Amino acid sequence: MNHHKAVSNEDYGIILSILGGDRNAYAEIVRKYEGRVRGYCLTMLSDPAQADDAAQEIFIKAYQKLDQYRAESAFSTWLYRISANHCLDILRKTSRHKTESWEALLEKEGEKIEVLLGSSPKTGNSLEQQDLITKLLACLSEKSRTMLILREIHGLSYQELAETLECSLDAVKARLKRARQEIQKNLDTFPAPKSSKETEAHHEA
Amino acid sequence: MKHEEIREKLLSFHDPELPEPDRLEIAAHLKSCRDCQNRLKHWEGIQAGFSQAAMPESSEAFVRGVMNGIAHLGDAASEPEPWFFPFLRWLVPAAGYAFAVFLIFIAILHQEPVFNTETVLLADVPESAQWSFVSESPKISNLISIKEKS
Repeated sequence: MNHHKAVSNEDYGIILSILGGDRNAYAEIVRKYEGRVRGYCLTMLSDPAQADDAAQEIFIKAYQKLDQYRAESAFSTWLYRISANHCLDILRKTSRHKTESWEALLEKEGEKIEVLLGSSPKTGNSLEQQDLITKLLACLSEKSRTMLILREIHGLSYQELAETLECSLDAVKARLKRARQEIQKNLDTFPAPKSSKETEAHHEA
Repeated sequence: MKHEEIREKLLSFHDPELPEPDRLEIAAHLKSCRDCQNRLKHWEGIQAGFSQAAMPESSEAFVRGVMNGIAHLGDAASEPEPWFFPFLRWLVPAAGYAFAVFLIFIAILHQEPVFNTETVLLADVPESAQWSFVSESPKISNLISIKEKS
């Protein structure tokens, strides 16, 4: 799911026309990126209403800073940087670092988590799965959550992560490794999903 | 690479950024290591779970909300400030301080003489009935003579 390559000519043209005074052209940018920004805010903040408000503020902030965009990286990367900083600010202000402990979540949603981790991509209720993923992520530290959302859900490359989080490639590798280990360790109680052959063998038996 | 080193890199096995020689080495190790196979399979399950996270559906109401917010920004920026607005920032607190100083000045000018407790208590009492407080303590000889008389 990697949508983020160098700045597209289309984006660049729209940005130039906005900077030239065509304020309405910004609606095109909002339409193009609202899904990613709102999705990011939702998984970071775990509250749909707060996420939508935050996403609006991010787009307004991006509009105000548009003249500072240098097109050295993709527009989406620049927007993710604003989003990451804005969501971290909100989390710090509201002190909502962790909504639920792992133990409580696993006890309450254990079966659903097992299904989620073992299911094929097209099964299950997507809203319920989205909610479960959000809850799983909410139990992680802010840094780990940011890394996993940007990498595993939004598909940013190491280079894009480095540009978004304004750190070196080595720091990205280290942080990503730590985040993955953190979630894997927490989900260690769940068995690895069975392969289709194993599942068939199990049903036959 | 040893087993421990491979374990460290295992979670990045599917990352396109992983150098090809590392990937080949991990793949070779996976053929014979049950522990690493399970660990990788477990991680693949987690990744598959994440891949099911759907992006919110596009909403024209959201776009309108952003554009309205920007329009208000524009209005606020384009509206000329009233001529007196910059002065209000310091004029209001300055007037407040000046009024406070004025009140203190008036209070000092109209300061009433201070009453003591004795004056207030004895204000309407005839002089004969007034008590007077003696600061000196009575002499012992006087007290003895009073006692002898009684």
